[in-house]
Parts: sequence; structure tokens; C-alpha cells
Amino acid sequence: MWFRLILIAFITNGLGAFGLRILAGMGFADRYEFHYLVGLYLGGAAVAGLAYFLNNRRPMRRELVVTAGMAGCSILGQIGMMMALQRGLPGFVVFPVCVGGGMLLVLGTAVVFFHERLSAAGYLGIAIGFVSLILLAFP
Amino acid sequence: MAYFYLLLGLISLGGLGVLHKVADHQACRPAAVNMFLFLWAGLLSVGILLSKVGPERSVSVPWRIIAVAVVCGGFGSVAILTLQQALRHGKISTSWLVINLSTAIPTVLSIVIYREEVGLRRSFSFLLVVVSLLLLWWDRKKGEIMNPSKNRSVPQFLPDEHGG
Repeated sequence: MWFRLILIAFITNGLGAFGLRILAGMGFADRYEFHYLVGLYLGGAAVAGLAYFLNNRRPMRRELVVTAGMAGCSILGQIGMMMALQRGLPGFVVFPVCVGGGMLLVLGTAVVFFHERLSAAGYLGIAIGFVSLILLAFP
Repeated sequence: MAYFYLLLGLISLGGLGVLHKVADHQACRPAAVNMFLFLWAGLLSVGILLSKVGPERSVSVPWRIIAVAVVCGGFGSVAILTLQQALRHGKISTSWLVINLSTAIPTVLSIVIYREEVGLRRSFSFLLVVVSLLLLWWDRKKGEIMNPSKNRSVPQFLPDEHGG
């Protein structure tokens, strides 16, 4: 079940990220990036609303708090990378450090605080995935 | 100052992954996480847009940009919903890696649609993505054989024991 779900997430997340390339192809990437972000998030909220209001009504307080933190992280992550690039750090430093470093942070937290353990195949998969992530992150 | 922003980007992107796990740990419903993550981020980005370009220029935008953004936001929403659901069956360490590996998809689409150059490094990284996914699938398969109870529940975007 996990693999089926995560495969859907893999494909749809990748398709969602392709929008920025379409924007660049139209020649709008440097002029409307904030308009695009608003459309992206509110479009996502509209689709998410369909799934949510189908069977749910009132949110729990912890859901509101945790998701507010997630939204803050999502936006600060984008701003951090954008500002680092604007202040002269090259893309081959910014993207691998932020993407790879963020991944390591999650891995460390998973092992230390959530006591996640993997098989040898799992650790090898993470190591190979990490290398490919760094290679893909280079502009 | 540039390194401060680099650190901010690193911690924020890592923090986002950690908070996905925290949401699962706190028994937050996937549909609610998805809905309010996008809603809060949407409101925050409206604030940023207004402060950056002002109210007048905020509304003058080609419709094609909004159309692409809304469609991609929809895909992103499905991704977050299924990721949050997957965390009920699997681990954040592997799930977050797979989500990050999805950057291979826009790269492949750019090569196919925009005829971008593939290159040796990209070809090699695509191969590694496939190998990594296979190994993670194998790890999960072994985990399910050893602990079948983890695989009992079905995906639900619906009310659960925590109400709704």
C-alpha cells in the first residue's frame, strides 16, 4: 500500500513542479513568480477542499497549528533559496545544499526522534537516492 | 548574509519534511493537513504578492499563468494528500526521499517536451533514481512480510476515529 501511494505522490509532485518550467518556456518566469505561487497554492487549496469537505467539517486545533508551520516552512524554503541566489551564491551550491541538507535533516530526525529503522536494502536505497538527488539538484 | 538565507532554505525545507511526520504522529487527518497547508500557504503568498507588487499589479496577470498554476497546484495537492496517507503505512525517511526524487519528472518532461540536452550526469542520475526506488520498494516489501499488520488499513480521505 505504501509503495502505491508514494508512487502516486512521486508522479503528481513531479507534474506539479513542471509548472515552473512551463512558465519559463512562456517567458514569464522572472516577472510573475509571486502571482504563480498564489495561483499554485490557492489552486491546490481548491482541490484539497474537495477531498476535505467531502467527509470532514471542523478542523482540529493541532491540524491548524501543524499546517501553519508547514506552510511557513514551505514559503521560507523558497524565499531562502531565492535570496541566497540573489545575493550571489551560485546555483550549484544553493540547490544541492538546501535539497540534500534538508533531506539529511529529515533522515536524522527520523532516526533520532522517531526511531525509524530500515533494512540494508532501505539504507542502500537512501544512499543511492541521496546521490541522485544531489546530481539532479545541480543546475 | 547569503549564507544565512542558505541556512534558512535548508532548515525550512527539512522542517517541512519533519512536520509531515509530526502531523502523522499527532494523528492529523491527511485531508485536513492537505487542505490547511495549501490554504495557509495561499494566504501567506497573497500577503507577499501584495507587499512586493502592490494591489494594482497583483491582479494584472496573464490568464495562462493562473491556469498553469492552478493545474500544477492541483497535482501538488494530490501529491501531499497521498504522501500524508502513505506516512500511515511507511516511514518519513523513505517517503520524503521519494518526494524529493520526483524532481526527476520535470527534468524528464523538459527533455521530452522542450528538447533539452540529456547529458551524461542527468542520464546517470535517472538510472540512480530508478535503482533507489526499487531498493525502497524491496525494503518496504520485506517490512510488510515481517509486519503484515502495518498494511491492513485502506486509504481514507474520510473521517476516522479522530472525528471530523
